[in-house]
Amino acid sequence: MRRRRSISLASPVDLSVDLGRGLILANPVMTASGTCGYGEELARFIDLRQLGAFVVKGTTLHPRVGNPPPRLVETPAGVLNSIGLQNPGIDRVIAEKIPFLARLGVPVIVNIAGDTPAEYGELAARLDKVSGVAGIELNISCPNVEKGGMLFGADPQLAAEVVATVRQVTRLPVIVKLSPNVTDIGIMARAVVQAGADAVSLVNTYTGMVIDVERRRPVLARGVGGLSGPAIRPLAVYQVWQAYRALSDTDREGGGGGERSKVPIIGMGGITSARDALEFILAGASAVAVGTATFVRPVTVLEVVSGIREYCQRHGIRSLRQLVGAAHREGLA
Amino acid sequence: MVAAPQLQDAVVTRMERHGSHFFTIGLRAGSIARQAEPGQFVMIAVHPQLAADSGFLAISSSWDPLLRRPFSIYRVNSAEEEIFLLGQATGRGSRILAAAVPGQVYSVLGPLGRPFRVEPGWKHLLLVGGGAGVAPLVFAGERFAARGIAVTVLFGFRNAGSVIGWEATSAWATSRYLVTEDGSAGKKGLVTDVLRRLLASASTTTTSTSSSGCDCGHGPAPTPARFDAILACGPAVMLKATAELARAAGVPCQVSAERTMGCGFGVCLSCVLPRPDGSYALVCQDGPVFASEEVDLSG
Ligand SMILES: Cc1cc2nc3c(=O)[nH]c(=O)nc-3n(C[C@H](O)[C@H](O)[C@H](O)COP(=O)(O)OP(=O)(O)OC[C@H]3O[C@@H](n4cnc5c(N)ncnc54)[C@H](O)[C@@H]3O)c2cc1C
Ligand SMILES: Cc1cc2nc3c(=O)[nH]c(=O)nc-3n(C[C@H](O)[C@H](O)[C@H](O)COP(=O)(O)O)c2cc1C
Ligand code: FES
Repeated sequence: MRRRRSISLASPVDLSVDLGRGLILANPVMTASGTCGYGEELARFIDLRQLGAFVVKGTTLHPRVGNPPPRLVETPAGVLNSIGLQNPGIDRVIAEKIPFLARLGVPVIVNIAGDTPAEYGELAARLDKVSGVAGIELNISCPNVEKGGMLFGADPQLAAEVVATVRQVTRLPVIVKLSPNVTDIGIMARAVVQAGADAVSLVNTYTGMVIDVERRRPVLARGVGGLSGPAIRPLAVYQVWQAYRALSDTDREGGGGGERSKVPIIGMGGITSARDALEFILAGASAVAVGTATFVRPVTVLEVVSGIREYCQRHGIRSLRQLVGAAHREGLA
Repeated sequence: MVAAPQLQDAVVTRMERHGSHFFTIGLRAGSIARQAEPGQFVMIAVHPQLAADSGFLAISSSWDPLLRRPFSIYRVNSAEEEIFLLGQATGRGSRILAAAVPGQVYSVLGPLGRPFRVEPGWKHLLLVGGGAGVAPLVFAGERFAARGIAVTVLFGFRNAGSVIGWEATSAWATSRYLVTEDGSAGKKGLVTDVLRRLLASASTTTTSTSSSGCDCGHGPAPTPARFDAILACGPAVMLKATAELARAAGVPCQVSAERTMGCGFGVCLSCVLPRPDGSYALVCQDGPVFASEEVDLSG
């Protein structure tokens, strides 16, 4: 105990992360979109200023009432949701929601979802000069809406078109949120990076279904939903591993060949603790996001920050960057 | 203003089982006990907490089932900083929780949600409860009676074996009515049968006294005949019928609604109940207590 304390005094750890275009986070831990609203609810439990960034709920051009209930069902160590992007629309989000986060000074990343590439462009353009907005996350992977959503996330050309449209209208860092419901996430990652994405985030939820055997029909009103939580963690870690491999020989300038990915990956899927987060970092994530675990334990996201710091101190790691993708470099048996 | 919720590690102080389905659990949860108002609830993890492990902090002993479970605050013992929950062991989570033993530590989040609202000048409340839905009403009755408000209790259960929370009401209720579906305790029938009668007589007489269905043993002390409001909690069909009868009688009615809850504090957007205008209310934040006309209880 005493020994550990003396190490922590002696060696401050650099947890900062560079997500590109000048977006530097003080630490690698952020909230996952759709699991923390717009901050006010979570602020009752934690000091949001200690987050690396706050990623807001998926926001659309027009308000959406969301899907009819039931919208959520518990699964083994997970949840299946079909919220359907309920949100007040971009104008009210800018006017009523972002100022709260901006006042705190936590970097705000706005998750946006459109039905067409032009809608993504319109959303991004409206966010471009909003004070407090530090970046945009393109949700091209929502399984819970009729149009857009997953469609863009499963087709590299459509995805690239969305990214290119957004790239033209904003100087903000653009993060593309990838769906795991594809054969090769590496192809998607490369496509969006070549189209101008500054970073990728993964994974969004896995498409799934739960059937009520008594009533002999799916539990969720829309039938299908998105699976998240500890149940998907090994699947998600592997997707990050794959994306890191794919991006190691791709970079924004179209060159390549580096051993390490220059494009930051934000890893997520079932993170409940610093240990879980470190799996993603070692698989290649530069930053991580906590989603479903917040429902169960709203303080998780800050516990992950302190746990990562303590891990680095325990292992004599000066900068978290040393750990990013380290599991690839250790070699496999 | 409703107090901010807290995340607390709470030691189990008491655990009692009632019949085969119900249990009451006492938890030492200081700030929740101090702040809780009737109608509010807690989200409790169904597995006990593990001791803190440095670096990878204290977490639940299992992630399955993953979600906390919502339970209304049933009683509060302020002196001992205890809260009590009245649970029904129905599915997996509540059955796991029902195995809790004193001394174990459970993670509790609360108090959450909007409480019952009693307006100045209200003199007589009618509490209508069914099954485990009596839990928040017992807390409400205790609190509001202590403020000098007359409280009439009307509780319904399946049968004598599932009567719960009834004993507790004798200390403060002005009149009490008990019904069971099979007549094995109290009157045979549904709460709505008695409710219809109570609302009808309240509108014609000036005073009412304990009537035939009441076994409270009180003398015929007069209570205000008119109910200033009905507070109801129980199965959705009961809530809907109660709200309709209340509306017909012109008595304000507040209902405590139930919905599957992912988080209990407003971030997952899963606990929605439709409003008459087609938008959705969040049961965990806008409720669980609603004025009955605020939400569509069949939605
Ligand atoms: C605000 C509120 C207050 C409540 N107060 C009480 C109380 O005081 N006493 C009591 O016995 N019960 C109460 N309930 C109901 C209680 O939460 C459920 O019985 C319990 O969640 C069932 O969990 P389970 O794992 O046993 O059932 P399962 O069916 O295995 O649960 C599966 C999922 O569905 C949810 N669920 C199942 N039934 C209900 C229900 N009726 N309401 C909400 N979610 C449900 C569970 O929370 C879980 O997420 C309350 C519910 C709400 C919303
Ligand atoms: C209820 C719920 C709502 C979500 N809403 C969004 C959303 O609006 N936009 C988005 O990009 N991802 C959304 N997600 C996906 C999460 O951000 C995250 O990618 C996924 O849940 C995996 O992480 P987790 O296992 O830590 O939750 C949502 C997830 C859940 C559970
Ligand atoms: S339970 Fe999550 S928003 Fe109400």
